[in-house]
Formats: sequence, C-alpha cells, structure tokens
Amino acid sequence: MIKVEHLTKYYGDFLAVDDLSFEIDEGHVYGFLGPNGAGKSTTMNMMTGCLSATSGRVEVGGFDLFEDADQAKKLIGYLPEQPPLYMNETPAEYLRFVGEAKGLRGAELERQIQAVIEQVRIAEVKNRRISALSKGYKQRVGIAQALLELTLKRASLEDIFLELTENGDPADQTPAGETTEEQEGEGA
Amino acid sequence: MTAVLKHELRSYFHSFTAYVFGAFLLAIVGFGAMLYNLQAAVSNFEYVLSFGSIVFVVIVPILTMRVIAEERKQKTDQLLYSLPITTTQVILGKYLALLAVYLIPLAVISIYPLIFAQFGDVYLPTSYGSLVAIFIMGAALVALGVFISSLTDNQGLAAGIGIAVILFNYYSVSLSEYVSSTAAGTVIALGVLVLALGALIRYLTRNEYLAYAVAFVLLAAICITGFVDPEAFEGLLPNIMRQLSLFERFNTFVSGVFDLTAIVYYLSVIVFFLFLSVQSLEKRRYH
Repeated sequence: MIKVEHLTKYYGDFLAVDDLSFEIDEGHVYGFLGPNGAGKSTTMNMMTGCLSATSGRVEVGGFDLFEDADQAKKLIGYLPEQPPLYMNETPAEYLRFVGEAKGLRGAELERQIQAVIEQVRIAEVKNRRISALSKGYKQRVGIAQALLELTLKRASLEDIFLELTENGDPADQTPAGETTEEQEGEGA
Repeated sequence: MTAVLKHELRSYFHSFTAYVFGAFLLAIVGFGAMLYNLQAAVSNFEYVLSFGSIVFVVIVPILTMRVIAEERKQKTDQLLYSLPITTTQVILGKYLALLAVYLIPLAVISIYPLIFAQFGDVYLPTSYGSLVAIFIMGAALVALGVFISSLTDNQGLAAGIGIAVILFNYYSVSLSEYVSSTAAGTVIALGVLVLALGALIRYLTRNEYLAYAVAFVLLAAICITGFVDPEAFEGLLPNIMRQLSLFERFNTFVSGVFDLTAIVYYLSVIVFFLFLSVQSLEKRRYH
C-alpha cells in the first residue's frame, strides 16, 4: 500500500508537481501516464527517495518515506528509465551488492539472487560484464535488481516502480508482467 | 555500509586503480629507501617517508577522482538514493575502502624499518611513529579527495582540482614566505577569501541570504578585529598558510616527536571533509 499525500515539488520557481495525492493498493498493477514534462519522473523520484519533496508525504507499507527511510526503502525496488548499472561488473556481482545493501545475507542472499536471475532470464549472461550486454539484457538486469528482496513476498507488500521507454524490447516486458507488480509507462 | 565497502573494494581490485596506486607508492618509497638508507647509508627511515610524500600530490587525486564523480556520471547515485542506506553510510563505506587500498602498500612499507634494523642502528619508534603519521596524513588527503570528487560529475576535473589543491598545500609553507606579512595585506587577502567563501556557500546552498549573511558577519569580524587589535593581523596570512599545510605537520614526526596535536588536526580534517562530502551528496537530492 502506497500513499502519496499533497506532494509538491518546486525547482526554484518552477512548479513541477502540484499538490499530488493518490493511493495505491496491494496486489495491483498501475500505469502512471502523462505527456512529456508532466512531472512523472519527478514524482517517481520523490516516491523512491531519490529526490526530496518541497512539501507533502509519501507512505510506503505504513512507513513514512522521509521519517523512516530505511524501513520504507526496504519495501521498494526502483528501476528508472535508464537502469542504474555499474558497467564494469557482472550481473551476479551487481545483484550481490544490491542484495547486501537491501539487508540480505548468506544463504538467503544467494537464494534471492538465483531466483531473480531465473525470473528475468539472464542466467546465460550473469557472469558477463554489464557493459558487454545488449540493451535488452541490461534492462533485464535492472528489473532483476528491483525485484530483489521482493520475489518471495508476493503475498505481502510489493511495490515496484518501472519506467519503461518506448524503446524497450516488448519481449522483455513479459517476465515483469508475470509477477504482481506495478509498472509505469512513459508517453501520452 | 559494509555492502558499499565490499562493493568498492571489489571494483578497485578488479580494475587498475588499487594496483597503480600501490605500485607508485611502493616505487617512490623504494626509490627513496635506496637513496637514503642504502646509497647514503642513513639509518633514518622517516626521511624516506618525507621524501616520498610528494607522490600524494598525484596518486591521491587519481585514486579518489572516481569515488563520487563516477556515480553521478553513470546515474548510479540514483540507485544509492533508493536503497535503504544513508548517505553517511555510503561515504563511510567508500572512504574505508579507499583507506584499505592505501593500507596495503603501506603494510609492505612498514616492513622496511625492520629489514634495515638488521643492518644498522635504526631507531624504530621514530620510524614507526612516522609511519602512523604518514598513514593518517594520507587518510586526511584521501578525505579531501573524496570531497573534491563529490563536487563534480567529471572525474578528470576532480583529479585536476585535487592535484592543484594538494600541490598548493605541499608548497604552502614555502609560498607563505612570499606572501604579504603586513596587516594591510592580510586584511585584503582575508577579505577576498571571505568573498570567495560567500560565493561558494551560495553555489552549494543556492541560498543567497545565507551567503550574504555569512560574508557580512565575517567581514564585520575582520573590521572589528582591525579596530580593536590591529597587531593581530601582522603576519597572520603567512601563519594561516603554514597552519593549513598538512605536509608541514608531518615534519615534527620526522624529528622524532610524536605530535598528538598533529594527529588530532589530521583527524579533524578527515571528519570535516567527510562531513562536507555527505552534505554534497545530500544536496543533489534537494535540487
């Protein structure tokens, strides 16, 4: 469950997001649509802790994103339009880092890494440098990172935000569609 | 924080960085050891460290240039912001990884005094006291490098600024001889510095009022001090330049004195620049 209450963002004098409020329920997939420059990316960045809000509140799974950032962020997997990948690593190493940062350790960490690798089907390239992967594979690695810690929590809260560009390979969208998550599409 | 630490260490050792840094440090200290301890048969190892410290001017910026600048460039800082780790943990994890890269060649170097002790009369406490001091001095320079990296998304620029700043710091004491030691000169120089500080604050916080307020308060303080006690400014500028030099404080260790105030000074520098780095990273969130 995600609650956004009176979210506002000013870039200097420019009003990017104006008193936005909405609720997102568990177990649903939502699309967040709007014309270019509407403030979708800004809103998403605020909802995931990448950007501060000028005013307003975001609540993820009952935790205030600004007050209880640690707890709230443990429930979030974020894939921006450009996947934030470390080019000189392999997907396996990258996923290990994200998993550890999310608080996973030991056998649980290994299990989740395996699970997401299978889920997005990157097993063949998991030990290849990310810089050497095709754009489609890179996108999948980004999805995998967002799914960590959440794959086994289908029954409980799952909040994933994806920004998919029109250039994304449509075939890559099916692994994401098979799990319960929220997607965000770009474009009008 | 350990996640960031392990991640950084892995990337340093899978790339050239750690090895190049270690190689250069070992090369110059080895060269110095050959000159002083072998060739000239001098048993003071601390001279070698003093000789070798100039290499920090180049290798520290090169080691630290990537640390934050690359995250900004690749937009992976977005990932870091969305993970359940605080900015402080990110900076600490990265900093400790850099210290680890620094410690490895230093650990090799710390064997040298023992080797030389087999062949001559080496006063070990001074040698090892100097080694501890060079470690902490290097750690302070690394903290400075981390801060400089956090100011930009361009590695090359970070390296360039780093080299310029550390070079200036290296020659700070020599330069202080040529700087005006009159009261008037000091006041003018301080005035210029305050204005520069105001501009920096304005850039970092985007808050004009804060910048003006700080500049005004500092300028007023200078004026008041000037009226109340003009002699305070005599020779202040050269004195300030001498105080700012990180390398100068190392020399007391070379003379055999384990200067605790210098250690505290270095630790303060570390805390100061790491704090600023955290602020710099946070600032990006507050656009």
